[in-house]
Amino acid sequence: MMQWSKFIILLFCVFFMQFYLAEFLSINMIRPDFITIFVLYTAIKFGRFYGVIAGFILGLLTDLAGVGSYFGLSSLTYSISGYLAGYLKDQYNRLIPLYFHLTWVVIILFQFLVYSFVRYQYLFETDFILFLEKWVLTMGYTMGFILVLQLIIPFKVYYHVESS
Amino acid sequence: MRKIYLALIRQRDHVVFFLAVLISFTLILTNDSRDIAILRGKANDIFSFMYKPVSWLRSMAVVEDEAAVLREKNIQLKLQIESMLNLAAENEQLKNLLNYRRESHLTLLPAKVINKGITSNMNTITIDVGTDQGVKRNAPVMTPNGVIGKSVVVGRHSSIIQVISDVNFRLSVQVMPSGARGILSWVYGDLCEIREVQKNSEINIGDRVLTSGFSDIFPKNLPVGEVTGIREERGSYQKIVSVRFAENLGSLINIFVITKQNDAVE
Repeated sequence: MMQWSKFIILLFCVFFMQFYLAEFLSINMIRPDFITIFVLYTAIKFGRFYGVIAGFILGLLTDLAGVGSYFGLSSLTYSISGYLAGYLKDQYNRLIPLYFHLTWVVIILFQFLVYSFVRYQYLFETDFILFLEKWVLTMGYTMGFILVLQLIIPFKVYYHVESS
Repeated sequence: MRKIYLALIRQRDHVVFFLAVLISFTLILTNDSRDIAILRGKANDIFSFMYKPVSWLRSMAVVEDEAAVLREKNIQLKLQIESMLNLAAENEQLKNLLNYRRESHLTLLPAKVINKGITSNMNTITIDVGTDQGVKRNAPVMTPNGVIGKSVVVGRHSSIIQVISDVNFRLSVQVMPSGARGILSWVYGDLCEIREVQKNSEINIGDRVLTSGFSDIFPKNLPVGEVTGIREERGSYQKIVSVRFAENLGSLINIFVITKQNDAVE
């Protein structure tokens, strides 16, 4: 069970990190998504309830910070990711590690697929290969940060699972 | 009642998820409502205030280079203005001969880009002018290189601009010198496409693309970009024209908002 005060503080820290740092780390107008990383880790550690709340609040703040169209899309995609990733709570020692890691990778892929489908829907209809490239690049940058974080705080250490 | 409450507590994960999805869809479907626009305007003012220190730091880093570039551009523009004044005088004479007068006046408000959004891909920018400076919703926004977007959310001191690279941005344009008209939408990077162009129009690579003036928002003859390719779809009566727009969206710092446009034909 997580303390609400700690949760709220962490939430806003991640938001401000995204708010101030994302632009400096952008490559060709693609930015890393620290909010996705936070929602993933929160949901895997504390479950669906906290994952959905973190995703919804951070998504709403993201959209309030400046989005031209589809206000509410970020809260939707992050909530879905938080909900799906929440199913992985306490599953690390029950699933084969490969399946565990594959599952959260698929959840991240799905989130960016939804986002890219809305963002690049014109490309989806006219040039599917280019759409795939944009989806992979948008997702890949954030996945790079997740993989680096996995080296520092892997999931098995994150919720104190002892390796057999 | 107690049973319902206990059931909700037991299933709180799913209940919260359902509520989050419902609220998100409601927000998406009511994007154009006045209350949402007011809320977004006020939130934008707060976030713009928070981002000001970073924006100031960044501008300090580029101010010297920017000054040098602006000085050079200033000289070039002065020379261009000289030749344009001569042409304008000649044009006026010819119009008077035809007994016809037309006035066009654009009021430009300079603004600085203070934030480029925080989502994974850039599709909006936030600028440091709002209703207090005379900006209204759906005000055209441009740089000296051309049109870049329009205002969608306006707070008192800041505004969110929907740029050309937003998936929902459409622009009515014409290709000069043929005058062929169509609807421009973004594809990726700095490339756009014009659709609904008549198949028999004469368009060549390198032709200039300007706003058509058919829109209530964008005045006529604002630069947009340059034609880079033309293709025809089989079985269609229309062409698709590829356009490279003139401005690099990733490096926007100073832009102009058109706050007043006055076209009078006598």
